[in-house]
Amino acid sequence: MAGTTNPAAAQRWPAQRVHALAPDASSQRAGAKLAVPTPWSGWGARAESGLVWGDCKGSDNQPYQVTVELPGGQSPPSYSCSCPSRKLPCKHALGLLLLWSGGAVPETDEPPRRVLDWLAARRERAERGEARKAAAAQKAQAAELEDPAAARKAAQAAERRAEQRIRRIDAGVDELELWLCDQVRSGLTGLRAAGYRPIDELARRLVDAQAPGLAARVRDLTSCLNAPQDWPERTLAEFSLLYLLVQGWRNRDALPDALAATVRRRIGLNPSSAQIAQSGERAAGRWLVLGCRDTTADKLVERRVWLQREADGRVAMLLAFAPPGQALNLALSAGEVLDAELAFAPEAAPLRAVVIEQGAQLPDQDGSAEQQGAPDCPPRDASTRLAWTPQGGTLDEAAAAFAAALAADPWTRFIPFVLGSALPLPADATGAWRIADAKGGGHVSLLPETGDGTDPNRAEQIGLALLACGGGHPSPLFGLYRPAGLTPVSVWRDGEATNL
Amino acid sequence: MTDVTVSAATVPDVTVPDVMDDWAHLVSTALVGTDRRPLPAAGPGPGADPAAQLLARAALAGLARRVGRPPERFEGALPQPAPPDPRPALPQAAARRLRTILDSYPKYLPEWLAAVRRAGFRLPAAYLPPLLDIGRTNMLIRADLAAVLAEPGRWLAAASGNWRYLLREARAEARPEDWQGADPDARVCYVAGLYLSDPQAARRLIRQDWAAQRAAVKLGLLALVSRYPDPDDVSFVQGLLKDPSKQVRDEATLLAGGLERRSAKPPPPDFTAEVARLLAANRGVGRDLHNFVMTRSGEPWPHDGALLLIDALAERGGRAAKAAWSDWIAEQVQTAVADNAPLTVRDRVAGLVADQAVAAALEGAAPRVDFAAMLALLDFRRDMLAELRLS
Repeated sequence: MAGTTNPAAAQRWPAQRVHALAPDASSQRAGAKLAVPTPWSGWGARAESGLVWGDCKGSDNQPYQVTVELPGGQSPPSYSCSCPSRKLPCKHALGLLLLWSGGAVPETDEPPRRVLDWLAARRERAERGEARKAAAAQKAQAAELEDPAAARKAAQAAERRAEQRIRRIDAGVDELELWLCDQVRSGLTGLRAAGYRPIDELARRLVDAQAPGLAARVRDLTSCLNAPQDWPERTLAEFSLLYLLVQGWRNRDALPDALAATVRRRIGLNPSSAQIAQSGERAAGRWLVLGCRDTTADKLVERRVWLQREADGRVAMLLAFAPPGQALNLALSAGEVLDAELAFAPEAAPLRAVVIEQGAQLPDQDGSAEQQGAPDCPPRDASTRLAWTPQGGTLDEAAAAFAAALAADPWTRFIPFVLGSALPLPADATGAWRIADAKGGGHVSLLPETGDGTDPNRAEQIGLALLACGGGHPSPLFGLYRPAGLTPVSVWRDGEATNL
Repeated sequence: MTDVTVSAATVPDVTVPDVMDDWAHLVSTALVGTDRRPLPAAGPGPGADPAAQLLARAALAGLARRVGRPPERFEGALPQPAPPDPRPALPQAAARRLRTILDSYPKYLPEWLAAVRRAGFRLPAAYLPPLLDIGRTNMLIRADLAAVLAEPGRWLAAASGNWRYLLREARAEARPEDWQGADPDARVCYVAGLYLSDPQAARRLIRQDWAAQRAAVKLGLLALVSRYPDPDDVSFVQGLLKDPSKQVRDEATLLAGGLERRSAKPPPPDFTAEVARLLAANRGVGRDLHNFVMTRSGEPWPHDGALLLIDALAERGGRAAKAAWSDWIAEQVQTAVADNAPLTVRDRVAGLVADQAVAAALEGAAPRVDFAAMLALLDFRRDMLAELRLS
C-alpha cells in the first residue's frame, strides 16, 4: 500500500485506552452511549495513516462530522467534530473511537473528501507553524549577528529573571525559617488553637515567593494539626522536614548534584520535560504499564502513570497535566506494554521520567500480527490481556525500599511498589480493611488515598474491588507504599490487569 | 545560621536509640515552646537558637522514626478463596457491552442479565461490585443476579453487609440441611429455592416452622411471601399481626394490605386487546394509552400489541402539528415500545425509517416521530442479545 505506514497507529486501541482519553467521567459515559452503530453513517478507518472518521446523527438536522487522527508514538491524537461541544475530545469522537476499538468501523482506503481536506489543512498549518518557528530562529540568529548587544541584553534579561526568582525564593525561605522557629519557641499548642488562618497566610506568601512546593507542604500542616490523636508528633515531623528543606536550599551548592535537584523540585523548581529529555539518564527497554491515577489539584488534572521495565523491574513515573475538560496526553492503561527509551529526571531517587523515543505500543501476547487487518478479530478490552505480570516483592522489601528512598530523599512520602502476593483482609472489628502479604507474612492498612484523608467507605469500596478481582487468591498488587499503609492502584489476576 | 551538616554536629555522637529517645523530649518541648521549657541537652554556644536546634534534631529523629518500622506480622489464618467457577468467560464484546449498559443504558440490565443467565457465562470479576451495588436497590434483578454470579458471587457478597441480600436468593442446587442450619440467610435461601420448584411446599414449610424462626428469618420469609403472592397467604399474614417482633408486625401489616388490594383487583387485561381499545377510544396515542403502556413497562409485550402501537405512532407522525403535550406523550410511548417490544417488530420500524428518509428527501420536512431513534434502541437490544447467543 502507498503512503506512510505507521506501525504504531495501525494497532487498534483497547477500549480502556479510549476511555482514558475522555476529559471527564460524564463525557466518558456520553461517549459510551454513542458507541452503537445506529447513529453512524459514512464511516471508515484507514489503519496505515491512523485515521478514523464518521458522521453521527445528533439532535441537529445535519449529522456531526467527526474525524480523528491517531498518529501513534508520542504525538497525541487530534480530533475534529462539527458539534458545538467545548470538550476535547467530544463525545462523538469518543463514541467513534470506542466503535473502532471494538472492530465495528470498516477499513477503507478512500477517506471522504472532507477528511482529506481536514488533513491537508492540518498539515499546512503545521508546516506554516514550523516555518514561522524557523523564521523566528533565523531572525534571532541574524539579529545576534547584526546586533550582538541586543542579543546579549535578551540573555541578560532572562538571567535577571531567573536570579530574581532565586532571590524571591531566598526571601520566602528566610521567612519560613523564622516562622517555624517562632512557632517552636512559643509552642505548637498555640498554633493549633489559632486555626487555619496563619498557615493559609504563610502558604500564600510562599506562593508569591514562587516556591509552590513549600506552599503545598505548609498547607498540609493543617491536616497534621487536625489529626485526632498523634497531632504533636505529626506536626513536629512535618515542621522538621520543612526546616530540613530550608537548610537544603541554603546549602544547595554544597550538596551532591542529584540531592540539590531533589531540593529544588521539593521547593517548586521543576525541570521541564525538555530539560529532562536533554540531561536525564536514559533507560531503554520494554516497559509494562503498572497503573494510572488521576488527581485534581489547583484546577489542574494531574495524571501519573507508573511503568516497570521488563529486564530489571526498574520503576518509572510519567506525568501529565490538563485543565478540566481537556484530554490528558497520556492514554496508557494497566497491562499495556511500551517499547520505549525514557529519560529520568536527575534526582536523588530518580522516578519521574519522560518518553524520548517510543516504538510500537506493543500488543498483548495474543494480539499477534495476523490479527491486525482481520476486521472481525477479537479486540482487547477493559481488562487487558497481559504480556507478563509485574515483578513484585514482600512487605518487608517494601519497607526496605521505602527506607532506601527516604535515605536518598528524606522528603519522600510514599513509593510505588508491587506487592507480589497480596490478599485483602475484610474489615475486622475496628472496621479497617487491611492487606496481607501471603508470602512474606506481614500486613498493612489499606489506605484509600495517599494523603491524610481516610474515608472508610472509600476504603471498603477499594477493598471489595480487590477481593472481587483477586477472588481471595494471593495476587500481585501495585500500589503506593508508606509505613502507615498501602494505597492500591491496580491488581493483577488470571492474566488480567484491573486499574482500581 | 545553622545548616544540615552543622545541625548534625550539634548532636555530635548519637546512636540510633539515643535519637529515638530524643524524639519524645523534642515533641513535649515543642508543644509547650522552648521559651517556656528549655531544650534538654541543648548544644553549646550562646548564639545557637534552641528552636532551630530542636528542629534540626527533630529532623534526624523523625527520619529514624519513619524508616525504622517493619510491617506488622499477620496472625491467624488467611481467609478462604472464592470457590471455582467452571462456566466459560463472558465473550469480550459482551463484556464491553456490559460496561456500556452500566454507563449509559441501565434500563437494559435486567434483560441482559436474564440472557446471560440463559447462556451460562461467567462475568469478569471487576464487574461484580457494581452489579451487587445495583442489586441492593433493584429487587427485580436479584434472582437473575444470584444465578449469574453463582457461588463466587455469594462468597464475595458475604464480605459486605450491603450485599447480604444475595445470600437469601435461591441457590442453583437446593440444600435441605440449610433449613435446619444456624445461618438465617441460608434458611431464607432454601425456601427461595423451594418457591421456584414447588411453591405449595414452600408455603407449607413456612406455616409449619414459623414459630421456631428468629425475626431476621421471618423478615426474609415475608419478603418471599410478598414476591410470590397467593390468595391463601392473606389469612396467614393477618395471623402474624401479633408477632413478638415489632419489625415483623410492621412488615406483616404492610404485606396484608398489599395482598388484600391485590385480591380485590381484577386480573390485568390482555395487552393487545387493551391497546386496541384505547386507540379506538382516544382516536390515537393519548394519555390513557400512555398510562396503560407505562404500567406494563418492564415486562415482555406481545408482537401484535407492539405493532399496533408502532402503527399508531406512524400515523400520528403524518398529521399536522399538535400541542407539545401530545408530542411528549408520543415520545414516552415510543421509548417504551423500543424498550419492551419483542425484537420481531424491528423490520417494521426499519421500514418506517426508510419511508421517513424518502419523505424527508421529497418534502424536506423533519419527521415528527423519530423512528431512527427507536431503531437505534432496538438495534442495541438486538446486538446485546446476539453477542451472547453466537459465542
